[in-house]
Amino acid sequence: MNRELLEKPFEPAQIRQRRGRNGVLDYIEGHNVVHRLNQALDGAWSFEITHHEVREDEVLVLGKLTAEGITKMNFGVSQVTREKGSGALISLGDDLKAAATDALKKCATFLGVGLHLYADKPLNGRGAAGRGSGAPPRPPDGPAGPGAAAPSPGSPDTNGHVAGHGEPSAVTGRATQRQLDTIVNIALAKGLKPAEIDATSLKKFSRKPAALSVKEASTLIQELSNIPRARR
Amino acid sequence: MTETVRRTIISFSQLDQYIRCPLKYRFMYVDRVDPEWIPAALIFGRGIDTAAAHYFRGAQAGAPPSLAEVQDVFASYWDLETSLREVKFWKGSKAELLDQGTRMLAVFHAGQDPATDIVDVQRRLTVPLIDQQTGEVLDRELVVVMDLLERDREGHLVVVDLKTAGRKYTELQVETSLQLTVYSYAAEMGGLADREDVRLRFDVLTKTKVPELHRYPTSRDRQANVRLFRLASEVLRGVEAGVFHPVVGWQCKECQFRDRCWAWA
Repeated sequence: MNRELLEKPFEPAQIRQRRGRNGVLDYIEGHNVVHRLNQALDGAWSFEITHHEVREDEVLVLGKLTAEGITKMNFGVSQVTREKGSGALISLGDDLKAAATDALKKCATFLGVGLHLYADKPLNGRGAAGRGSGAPPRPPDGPAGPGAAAPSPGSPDTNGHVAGHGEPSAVTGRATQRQLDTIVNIALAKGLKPAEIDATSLKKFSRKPAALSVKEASTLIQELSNIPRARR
Repeated sequence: MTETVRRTIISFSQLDQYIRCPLKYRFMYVDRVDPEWIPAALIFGRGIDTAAAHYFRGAQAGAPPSLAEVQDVFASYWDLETSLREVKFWKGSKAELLDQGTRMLAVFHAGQDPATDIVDVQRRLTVPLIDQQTGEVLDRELVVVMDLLERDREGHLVVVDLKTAGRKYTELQVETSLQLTVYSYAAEMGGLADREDVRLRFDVLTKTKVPELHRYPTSRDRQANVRLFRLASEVLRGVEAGVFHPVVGWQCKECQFRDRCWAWA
């Protein structure tokens, strides 16, 4: 077991962000975690779901990660996706897969994978309040799969943090994914071409949007939202 | 098309509902309570909207439907919806309201200019919620559905919302309408037109003894957009914090959740 490699911090480009209950959270996508486990353990690891539950609005699984005789277990969750309006289930299988990915990532955290993401973060807010000092570190609340996202206004998870984006990530201070999406969406709506988005950012900040800070991204969004549409 | 509830959106209706009564918002969008009955006025308004949309689509295609056809759409909708659901009638019976709708649509139809340049009908837009003063972005996108988009003779885009109402609108109602502000913002952020080129209009069909069609043109400025952002931000903050208190007023009379509301106390 190559602990150094397991605990090696991920590259900034591999770190994604989303809003969680306690502010902006950094997370690593599942395939990067799998790749890291393969590298550090030479592929000699196994993962299984030992228990799963389907609740009204979420699915919960208990995952077990085993490598070189060491076992780590943790829970993973995912929201149940339903059709808007009818509320019919879309794919419970996909929801369970997303929860399984979440569980794998949380198990891997116990081996040190991605542990650096919250090394500098205080355990604050509601999430920390119920854990007590002796509890293990809580892995980041990143989406369990590529399709996962924050809940809608009508979902039971509405009490999660929803408003505002302005807080910088506690780790990086980089522009959030929401900001980057907004830059693209608003620029396209204003008639700019993708290359022009980069050009606008480079001209103002000497960096492409992905490399902007939260504050710089806000400035760019503010400017883009106020420009007239490009006439072609 | 299937859309999952995972999308982080908020609609104008949700914003409006929270402002009118946060507790009703909770019943509708958080608890997702199925109401036991539907107020007739709600079905009536939707029926008029459906019939008008039928007219506008035909007009857009160069073949405006006849009055009889438009009235028939309303009658079919009315009959179907009032048969399938438990409906509560306050002002008028099923037959009386059908008659009223038929007369209102006659006024509507007579008030249309077939030469109107119709750009789109029931256009759905999803746009980011941006503070144009600071560049702050909310985590929820705003979803709106616009009844009608027209192009006026000067080339302005006109966003029209058709309303049915008991009486004429006041100037204050038109100038402060959140719905028109949302439309103006969405048209700009959705890239349909620059703010200066967006015109807004309420077309109000009165449910009076002799129905009338009144048109109320207006517009919005940048400050209205900033105010919309702050309003949406506060609403989302309230939702996030679980603030769902009742607002008691005239709207309680026809509220589908009245019993549940009293039980909440």
